[in-house]
Amino acid sequence: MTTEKVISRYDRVKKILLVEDDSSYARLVEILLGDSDLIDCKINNTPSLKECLLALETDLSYDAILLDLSLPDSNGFVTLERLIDAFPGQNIIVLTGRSDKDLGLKSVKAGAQDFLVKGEFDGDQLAKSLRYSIERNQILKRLEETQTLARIGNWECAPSQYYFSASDEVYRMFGLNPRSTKFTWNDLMDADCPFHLFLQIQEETLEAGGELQKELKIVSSDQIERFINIRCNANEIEKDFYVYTGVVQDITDLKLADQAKIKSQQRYQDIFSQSKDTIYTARINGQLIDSNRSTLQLLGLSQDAISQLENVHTLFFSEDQREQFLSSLQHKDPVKDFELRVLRGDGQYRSCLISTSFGSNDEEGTYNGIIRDITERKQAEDLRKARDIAEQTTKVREQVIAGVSHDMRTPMNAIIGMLNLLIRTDLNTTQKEYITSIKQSSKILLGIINDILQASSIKNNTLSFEQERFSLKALTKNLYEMLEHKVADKNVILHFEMGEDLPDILWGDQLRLNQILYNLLGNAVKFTEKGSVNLKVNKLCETAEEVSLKFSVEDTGIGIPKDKLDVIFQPFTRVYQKGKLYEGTGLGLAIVKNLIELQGGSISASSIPGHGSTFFFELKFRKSIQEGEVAKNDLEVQNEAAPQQFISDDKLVYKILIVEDHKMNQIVAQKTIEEKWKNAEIVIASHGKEAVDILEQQAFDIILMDIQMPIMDGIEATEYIRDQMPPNINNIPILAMTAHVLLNDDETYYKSKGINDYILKPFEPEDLFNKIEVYIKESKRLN
Amino acid sequence: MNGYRHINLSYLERMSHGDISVKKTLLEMLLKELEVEIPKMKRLINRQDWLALREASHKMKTTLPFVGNHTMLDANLEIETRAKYEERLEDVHQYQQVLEKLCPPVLEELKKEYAKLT
Repeated sequence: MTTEKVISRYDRVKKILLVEDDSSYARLVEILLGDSDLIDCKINNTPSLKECLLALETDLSYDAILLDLSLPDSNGFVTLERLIDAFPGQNIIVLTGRSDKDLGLKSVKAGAQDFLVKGEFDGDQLAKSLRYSIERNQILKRLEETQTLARIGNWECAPSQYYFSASDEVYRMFGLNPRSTKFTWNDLMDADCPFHLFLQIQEETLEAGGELQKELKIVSSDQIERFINIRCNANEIEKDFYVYTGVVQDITDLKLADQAKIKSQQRYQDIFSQSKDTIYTARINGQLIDSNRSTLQLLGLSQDAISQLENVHTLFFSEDQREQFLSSLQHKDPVKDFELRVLRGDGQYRSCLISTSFGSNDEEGTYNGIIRDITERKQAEDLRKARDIAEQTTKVREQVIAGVSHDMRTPMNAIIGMLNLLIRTDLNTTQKEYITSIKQSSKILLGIINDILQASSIKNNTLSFEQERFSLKALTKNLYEMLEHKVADKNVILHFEMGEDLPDILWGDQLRLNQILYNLLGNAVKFTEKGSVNLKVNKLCETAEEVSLKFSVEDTGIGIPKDKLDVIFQPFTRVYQKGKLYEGTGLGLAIVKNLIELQGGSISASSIPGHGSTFFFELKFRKSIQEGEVAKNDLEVQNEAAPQQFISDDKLVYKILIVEDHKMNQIVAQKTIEEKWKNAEIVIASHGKEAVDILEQQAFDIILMDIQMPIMDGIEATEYIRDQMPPNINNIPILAMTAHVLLNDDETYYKSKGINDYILKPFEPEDLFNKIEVYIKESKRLN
Repeated sequence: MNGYRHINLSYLERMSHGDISVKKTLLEMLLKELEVEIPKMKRLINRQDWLALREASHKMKTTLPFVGNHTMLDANLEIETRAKYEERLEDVHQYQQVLEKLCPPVLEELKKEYAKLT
């Protein structure tokens, strides 16, 4: 090896820090190194330790430090200690005097790379020492880096010499800073020292025959649990004198990964064993390799029977399905929710879904399967479908019935209307009887149609309830008069008994209450040939705002068999008794029950066949707050009870606005009204806009408003009148005259727009007259 | 009634309240309306203009009671319902044909009645 070649390996100029206060000696060192072919270096001389430390603070890239221990500001071994403390890990070569060789040796033990005795080295020796120290230092640094990367440290202990040493990485594993903490043999003797275990392991190693490897869990000084793998070799250097060497490896990550893996495996094992789904691994030929407990339950077989199965696929699939399934398996296509019927040991089939997967680590030709039993779900789905179909069928049937009834109502109204006209013509007695009979039947038929429509409204939740003031006394009086003629032909007494403490004025839906009572009383009259029909109304309880009333309808009729009492409130229930089926749809009581329950009440019935029945129901009403107020129906009853107070028709001068686009209807309405009130003042508007224009000029007693019209329809016109016009105009009663067949929702809609009531076209004159009178009188009373 | 097969004018007479001139006016209007509206409904069906058809049949609903022909009244109601909900429209043509078929004899009888008044 030539000198040039040696230098070429060190072609980088080395930086040397020379700490020497003797400038002539420093110059000598520079000359010696400058003359040497072994090293090419640049020297920076600092004459004191202080300046040395300052130089290192600004530049730590020195390859070596030549340190004279005798400096003006520090003398002796302490110079080295101070330098190492301030800048550990530096490559230091100590320069000593001839008499200080021991000090040199001590310095090397303390961490210096080498020592040179002043006056005993030439240029090449100095250069060689520098080169070796630099190289050695680099090797040590690489070793340390390697240990850090591998999380491995080494240690050595010679008890006979009270010596212990461990690499920096060992300290780091224990959460210690190797720069600030160094344990000695004496430290190890302390049981609280984290390195005490290195002492303990020595004995175990001897017991194990000189070599030992064990894993330990330690808690580092930063309170982190770590796992280490510690190795120890006992080398007997003299009899019974040992030097122990070993390595320590941080295996925390490995250990945690192992633990996570174990936990994961346990979790999967739990899922596997506890899953309600069948989970199994099988070969493509159907041989079961592993299966969970649910497999036994699904197949209804014992563990023994399952382990003897040659081909589980024969139980899982029909022949066609098997081919399809195996084809997927052979092509390594995972199956997802493949539907199958599993044959159980007891011969029953279960509806299931299967999904498969191929694990990357699984044996070739095997697959994993998950089977979910969906038998109950499927049955529930089938039931739901059947129920949906049944509900849909019922709905369609009801819609058809409602639709047909709806369509029948218009012609029925026409029939009754025509009969009303016909009965006023010249007829003989027989003809009158026939027509009266037809009219009665027609009214029954219309009642049936209305029942069906109302039942349909209840079913579709389109029924709404009014909250209006009414007189209970007037309502029952009116009912009495309506029913009086019905019992006239029978040997039946109609008796109404009202509690003395009943409030007269209530808030609620009087029309519905009237309907409920009329239905129950009408039934009672229908089924009673002799005796009595009684209505009793009593107060149940009362608060400041509300009153609860109990209504009882009692008759002495044929009664209801006990087994029929439970079903009489169901739709289309008709009780067949004594060979007679009474007329009706069987909807009346169902409607009554719904009307009561929708208002928060309840109804029940009791009966003794042959002796009569009693129907009870309870309803709450809001009480009237104002004393002495007059209810709407009370006024009507007063009016009806005192017809003599009416001004004769000829004298009445009603002012009526007819809003109608259809010319024929205009003429008919005008002519009809003039027939009744000869002096009526009638103005006609052909559409809503024209009506509004007329109303801006003059007021009217009532407005008859067609709904469907060009330019501005009846709804728009009503809204305009109610919202935009002055008080004397915006409160004029408005009667809709419409050919629309009204249902509840339409009626509610119309009322919400400000229309007071309606007349169906083609109208009956009497209906028109009645409504005109009622609303004009009500309007005049309020104004 | 009164020898007519296709019309029944009792409602019209009732609404005329015995006033011949009113009856005459109503008959004139009926004749005019039927002659115009029935073919118009056919055109609307062909154009599938269901909104306009609904309006036309609604108007006809208050006209036909004066004619007193229940077949026409029913057919018209069917047309109105179908046009309103735009359902079962395939049948609309069939009901229009009923109106179209009955319209000429109805008009003929209405004209006879009208002629009696002049």
